[in-house]
Amino acid sequence: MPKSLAKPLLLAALASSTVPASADDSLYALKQMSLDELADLRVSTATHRSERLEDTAAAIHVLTAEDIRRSGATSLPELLRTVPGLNVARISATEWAVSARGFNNQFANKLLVMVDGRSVYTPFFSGVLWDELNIVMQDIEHIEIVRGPGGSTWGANAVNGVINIITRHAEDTQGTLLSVVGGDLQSEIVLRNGFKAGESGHARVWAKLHQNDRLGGTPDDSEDIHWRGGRAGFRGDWEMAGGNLMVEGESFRELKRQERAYSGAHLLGQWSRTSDEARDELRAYFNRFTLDHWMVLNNGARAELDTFDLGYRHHFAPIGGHNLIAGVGYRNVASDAQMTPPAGVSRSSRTDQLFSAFAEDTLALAERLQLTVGVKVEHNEFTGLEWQPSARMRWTPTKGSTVWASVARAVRTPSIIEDSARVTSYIGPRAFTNGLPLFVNSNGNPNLNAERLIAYELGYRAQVNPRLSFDASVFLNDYDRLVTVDMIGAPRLVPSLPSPYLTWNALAGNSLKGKASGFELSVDYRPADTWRVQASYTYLDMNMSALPGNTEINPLRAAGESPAHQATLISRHDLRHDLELDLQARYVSALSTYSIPDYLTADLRLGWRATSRLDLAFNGRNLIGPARKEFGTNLVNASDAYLIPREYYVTANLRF
Amino acid sequence: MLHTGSSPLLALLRHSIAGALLLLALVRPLHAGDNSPTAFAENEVKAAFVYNFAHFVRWPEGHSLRPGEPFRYCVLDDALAVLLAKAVAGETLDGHPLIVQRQPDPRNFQECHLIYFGDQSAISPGTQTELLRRLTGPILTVSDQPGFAARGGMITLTHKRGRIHPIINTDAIERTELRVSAKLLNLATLTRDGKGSAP
Repeated sequence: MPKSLAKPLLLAALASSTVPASADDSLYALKQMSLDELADLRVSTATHRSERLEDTAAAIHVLTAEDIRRSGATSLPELLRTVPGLNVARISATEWAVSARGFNNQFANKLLVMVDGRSVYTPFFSGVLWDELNIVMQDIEHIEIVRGPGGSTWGANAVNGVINIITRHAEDTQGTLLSVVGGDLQSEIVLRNGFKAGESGHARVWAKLHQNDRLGGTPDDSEDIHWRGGRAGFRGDWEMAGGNLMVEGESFRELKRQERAYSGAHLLGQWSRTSDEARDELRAYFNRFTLDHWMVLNNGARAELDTFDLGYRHHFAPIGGHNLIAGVGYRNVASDAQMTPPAGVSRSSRTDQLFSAFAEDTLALAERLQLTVGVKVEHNEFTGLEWQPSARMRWTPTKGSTVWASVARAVRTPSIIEDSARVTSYIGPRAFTNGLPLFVNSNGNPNLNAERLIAYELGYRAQVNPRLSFDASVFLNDYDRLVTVDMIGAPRLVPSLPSPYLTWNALAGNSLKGKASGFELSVDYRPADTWRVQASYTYLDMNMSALPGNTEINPLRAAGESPAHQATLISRHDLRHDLELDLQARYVSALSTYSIPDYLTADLRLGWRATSRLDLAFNGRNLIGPARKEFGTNLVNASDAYLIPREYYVTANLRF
Repeated sequence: MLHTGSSPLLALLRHSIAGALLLLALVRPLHAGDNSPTAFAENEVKAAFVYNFAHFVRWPEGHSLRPGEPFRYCVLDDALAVLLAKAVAGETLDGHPLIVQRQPDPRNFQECHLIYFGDQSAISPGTQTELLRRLTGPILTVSDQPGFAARGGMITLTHKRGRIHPIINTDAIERTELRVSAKLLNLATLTRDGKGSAP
């Protein structure tokens, strides 16, 4: 079936209201939609605020449940490899580097990730622990990925992008599902049961266990180790008093012996009510996350973070030409962090409060021209008051085509580690150390400023005909006050025998600025009703420049941590009504910081719907070329990363 | 220092976007604006579903769909028939032209590939059960009536949180040579003969 770019979105704040359509227009639009999209359309007469992808003035991509299923991915980062413009590099069985528009790193800190509105970006070190986020893939309804800043809506740390994971309504997961994954490097079992909960509600409960085997050894033959984990949770949805109540919770533990152990639990409640054209949303959650044990750059850490978050937003009924959304939020993070000496945290126990408010207005400037202006103001305990405004303009010259442009400001606030930790990193012998090993003692700095971005974007997307659509975006990101590790004085020789070494003290600073620019192109083509091809190309150019006071060892390394060129080709072919063949190929150019050469590889999946209640899929990953490193870890070389090998696995889903 | 700055083209782009947005921000809205969003009527969405089912269900080659012959949607619902006729105009399915027959005589049901029982179909539930039981061969039966699956119907279009949602009676499908695609099965709620039209 032809499929348009149109996708209903929850990203209400980024979307604007749509132009009216005649009956013939809407039938034409409906015909072009896929089954997924049709099933996701609200048809009630109360509200038709159907925000669609083509109406959004941002570089956005949506992964539907169908995309997720056919990717064959068993983890979020592996799934995100299929998204145009995202860079995903695997480091080990448990670690990935994921970013958009540059600044990729094991501790990539410019991408905000949320699950049902709950932030999983940790303020401990600024970033996302993807191995903590081992959620049940079958429970994901869709994922919205925005490249570019989302600070005016989502607040701090939505600098280079936002990933919004939305899980399924409990009514959509009724019955029992048994899902099994078995392969040469991983195994997994998921059991889920959905049932009616009272007169007006539905619920599900689930449990998941997994084991990921060690990946191949590094050239020096050190070996990665097993990663195991388990989690159990529930979600309930009820319709009551003219609104919807959703409650969900989960408890998990992930363990990689000697390296890391995490545990955590959360409870989230969300109340929403839609009346006429207005909508209210109230959300509260409590999240406990514990790093029972964590090794980072050979520093042991332990931390416990208790987050309480409360947010309310109101979508006003249109007034005149205006469409207004406003909201307030409060977050309290009580944390306790310790590091193994000589590393340490000077303010080990702390409570950080975050107050926020935002407003956004979409106004029709002309029949086909809309402007959205918004601002989020936040007060945080690290850098005080931060404001993040944006202006987005959308022009729809013809039916099915959209030109958009935006200017936005976004900030990243310092993490607890950047604020108050003392960490020792082993840099190893370098040319300037006369062959002696070097240890850097870096110290957090409570006077750090927030990193700042002004982003300029321009985009065009068009549905050329029912079978062909494309999407292009150009961006220029202007960064300032990026956080650095600035060396103090000269290295000091420690004449210990038999192996003397150097130590060098450092202090966190804001002494880097730079520009990243590039463009992203993607094409979605359906040669036949049973065949869909998606191709994308991403170009990135990063120019960092050290500010006075920057004495980093490798100040410009970020430019060599993200590929300049990336290309993907995805083919989804229905061979028969019950047979699916999926190909995902990708090219990633070299990473100079880690001396990693460019590579081309591909994944294949053969899916078979054996009966209406049983489906099987055979998956092969990294099928082209030998095992290879995709990234590095210790900031200067790839020695701690593992070779990512070819991998085979079978998945089976049984519904009863 | 490796800093080379951005290209003049990008700098120009940046300034023009900023300028345009600044200018626009200063302009008041030209008029109240027709802000009513795209509205999809329930019947239109149902028609789009029915139109799509022909693509996501496989009919056996041969007796029921001979080369060059049209694919027949038989619609016992006046409003939906009009919408569906608009949707299929000029379209084909694997070389078969798509046609819509409005309120066909039940005696000719065997010529249909898909039968839609709408609210306006003047057939009582009892008669419908009997009709469905007598239908043999690969004919996809679709309806928006509650209890359709329990009466032996194949696909029921229901309401779920303001959306249209298909429920598939896998037993009814499996009694025929029809094969439903993995995509549609994944999207739908699956039920069986004994279970009525729940959930």
